[in-house]
Amino acid sequence: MLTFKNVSKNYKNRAVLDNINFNIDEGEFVFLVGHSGAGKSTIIRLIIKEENLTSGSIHFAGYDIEKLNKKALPFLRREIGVVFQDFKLLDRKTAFENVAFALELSDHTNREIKKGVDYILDMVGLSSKSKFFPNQLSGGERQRVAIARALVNNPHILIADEPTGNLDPSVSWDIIQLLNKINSWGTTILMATHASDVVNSMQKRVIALDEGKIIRDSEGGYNE
Amino acid sequence: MMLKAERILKYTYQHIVRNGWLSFASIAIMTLTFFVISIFSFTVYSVNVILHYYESKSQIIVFFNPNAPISYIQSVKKDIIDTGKASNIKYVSKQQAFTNFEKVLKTQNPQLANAVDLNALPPSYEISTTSLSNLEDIANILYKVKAQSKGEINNILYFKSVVQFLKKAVSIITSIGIGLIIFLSIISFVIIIITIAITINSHSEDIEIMKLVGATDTYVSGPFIIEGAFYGIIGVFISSIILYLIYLVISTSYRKSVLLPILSFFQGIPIPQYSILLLLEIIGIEIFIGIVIGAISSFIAISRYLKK
Ligand SMILES: Nc1ncnc2c1ncn2[C@@H]1O[C@H](COP(=O)(O)OP(=O)(O)OP(=O)(O)O)[C@@H](O)[C@H]1O
Ligand SMILES: [Mg+2]
Repeated sequence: MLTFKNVSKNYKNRAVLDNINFNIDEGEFVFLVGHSGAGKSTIIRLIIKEENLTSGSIHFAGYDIEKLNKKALPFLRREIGVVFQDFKLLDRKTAFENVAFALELSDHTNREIKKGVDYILDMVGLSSKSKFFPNQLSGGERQRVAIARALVNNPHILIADEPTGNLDPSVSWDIIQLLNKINSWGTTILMATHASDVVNSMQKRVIALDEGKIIRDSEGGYNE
Repeated sequence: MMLKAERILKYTYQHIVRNGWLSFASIAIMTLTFFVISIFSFTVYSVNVILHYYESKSQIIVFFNPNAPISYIQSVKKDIIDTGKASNIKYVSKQQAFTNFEKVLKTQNPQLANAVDLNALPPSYEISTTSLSNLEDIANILYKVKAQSKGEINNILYFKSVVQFLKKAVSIITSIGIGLIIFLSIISFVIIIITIAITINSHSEDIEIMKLVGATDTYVSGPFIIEGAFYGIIGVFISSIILYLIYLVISTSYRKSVLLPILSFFQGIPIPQYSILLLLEIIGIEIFIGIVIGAISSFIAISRYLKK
């Protein structure tokens, strides 16, 4: 459902991604690992067309991302749930409103939204803080709001960029369990991470990047 | 569709409320703009009404020799009518002149009134026009007629310098006023765009995030554009109220001539009356302009973020 074909990305003539090829099937759980600066977030930015690729092609669920016009782009993005590395929460909206925003985009009724958001906030353990604004939440809590927003729309694929980066081990483990559960319900998951212990314990498919190149793509653990 | 409209309105409301200070600034700028523009418009309008009053009150009076034959007097009238520039020609006969004279004198000096000889008073034409330039044209013609007459015309009363002064005043005040209105409108428009751009700038990150999670351009920009239009409406509304209060104060004190002694100078001039219909029309036009300016400013400011 997600295919990278000879994808390269340059930032001002500096190659950040170099000839990337992979295919992720429906229902897979894939880790994207690599040193800081290896290009993990760049791959995610290309998928939602936050950045344009330099060469090659990306296909997602029938869309050719490169050829997608301006009108169709919002619809692609609604089908992909992204947990951004820097959360990208709306500072002027409460936790509830941030999550609800994703549902409002796809014409759900107010009652459906209330039900859906309450459910998902409960799932990430933030029910009691739904009326808090992001600056009243801890880093980990903000991260969980970001996860809730990415999940609430039942996306085809959930892309999580360091979703456990700010969480203590027990909470981060909860999050991983949560992702695993969602994956078992059929949602495809692509998760960029540094956390080798998580990768090791999960024994899922791992795509390892180094300086913009794929150096490994196989199931199993993660050895630095 | 309804849901989307409802949500866009909800976000408009949230922007305005959660952005208190900038909303206040935007409304203040809008109010000031419409206030100043209205003040100048009304001033230009009022000055024109007042000066027009003077124009219509300006007259040329031709005094004939009491012995001038009726036929001559009528031929002069025909000359005046032929110009096509007179709006009113009033003939004051000897008798009428006497009656008028008597009326004035009786209150002041009854003995003198009895002593006046009816035949000593000259008949006259009081000529009015709708504009000062017409008045001047007629005056020139009359001077020529007088030059050719054999004493049938005694005198021509025409305050040339006053008339010319008024004429200049009308055109200067009108053009300065219109110039100022245009100048202020441009300045205000720029300030409004900048103010709204600052508001939108403070939301630039939000705009980017909303688009990343799948919001369409309309959905993102809708609240900002409605917000701009809203500021326009509120600005017009507040400035209209302030203006109306000022009008009330001036018009009542004008009538009593208590508060503003200067105005007593103008006693007798009708204060320009603005009918309710005219006022509503003006407010309607201003609200329309307010909506357009507000919405366009927002659109200009936000289109920068939508290109990406
Ligand atoms: N807008 C940009 N302009 C120029 N260079 C950029 C830009 N964005 C990213 N880069 C560069 O691209 C490279 C890859 O960045 P990327 O964010 O994909 O790394 P990453 O693997 O996600 O790292 P981390 O684990 O620290 O998040 C980095 O060297 C970075 O400096
Ligand atoms: Mg990254």
